[in-house]
Amino acid sequence: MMHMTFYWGTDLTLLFDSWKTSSWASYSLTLLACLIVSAFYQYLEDRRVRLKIVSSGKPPAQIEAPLLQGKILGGGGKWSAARIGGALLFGVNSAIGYMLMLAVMSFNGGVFVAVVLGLAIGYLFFRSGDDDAATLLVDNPCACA
Amino acid sequence: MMHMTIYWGKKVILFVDWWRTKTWTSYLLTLLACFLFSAFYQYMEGHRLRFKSSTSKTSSTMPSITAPLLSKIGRTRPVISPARLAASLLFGANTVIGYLLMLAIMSCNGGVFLAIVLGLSFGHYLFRSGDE
Repeated sequence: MMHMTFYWGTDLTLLFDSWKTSSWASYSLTLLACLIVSAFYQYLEDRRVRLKIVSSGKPPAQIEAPLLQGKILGGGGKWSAARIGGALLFGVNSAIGYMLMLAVMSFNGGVFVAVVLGLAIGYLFFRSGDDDAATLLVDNPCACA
Repeated sequence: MMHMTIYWGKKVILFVDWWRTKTWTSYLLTLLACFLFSAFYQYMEGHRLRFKSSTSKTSSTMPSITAPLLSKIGRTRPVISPARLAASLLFGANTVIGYLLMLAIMSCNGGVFLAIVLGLSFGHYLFRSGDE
């Protein structure tokens, strides 16, 4: 019924009963979708981290205008736009992350490779360029945590 | 056929059809493998984060009184630099390990779950709790 060990092949049911692939064409399209969604997940993570850094009023404002700390995008208040936006982005990314985990749970070898490659490529393009040490703390390789 | 709830026992099938444990020996060896693999994951994470912070230029771009606007939040390196490629490769390797650990826990075996959690904690203590 459901795979509990790794298998290779084009027969795949992904996340929904209606998402079944049997031919090489549909299977390749599905793998491409996994790759793109994984890379997109990294793009959103990068956006979320940057929003967090910018809204916390970090270094650039410190020396010039110490009173402006935390006031950028109103990142100080409990219900500020930055915090709600950050939480929304976090929620969206949690959803995508768990969907990626569920996709890997199909135990299809091609899906596993596609998701990992997509995450790594997305990381390369969207996240590995950061030199800000603050971004290191949120660097979690497994999209489901 | 496969477990959808946590169960205790020495019968586990892990990742591939031929990794089946029936005896206590094979089961304990499998638990040891899970423990070591989880600790190894933390070793790799510590290594990756240290590598990333050592190749970053944070120390040289910290804002100072004379140049307060020099702390750049944007992308500071071209995409095809060796440091970025290496960082992404390490990230990819750790993603594989992380997902494999997730799939191992999906076996729903209680011993495997404990072995992995203990391995992660022990690995964190050894390799990562020293980071500030």
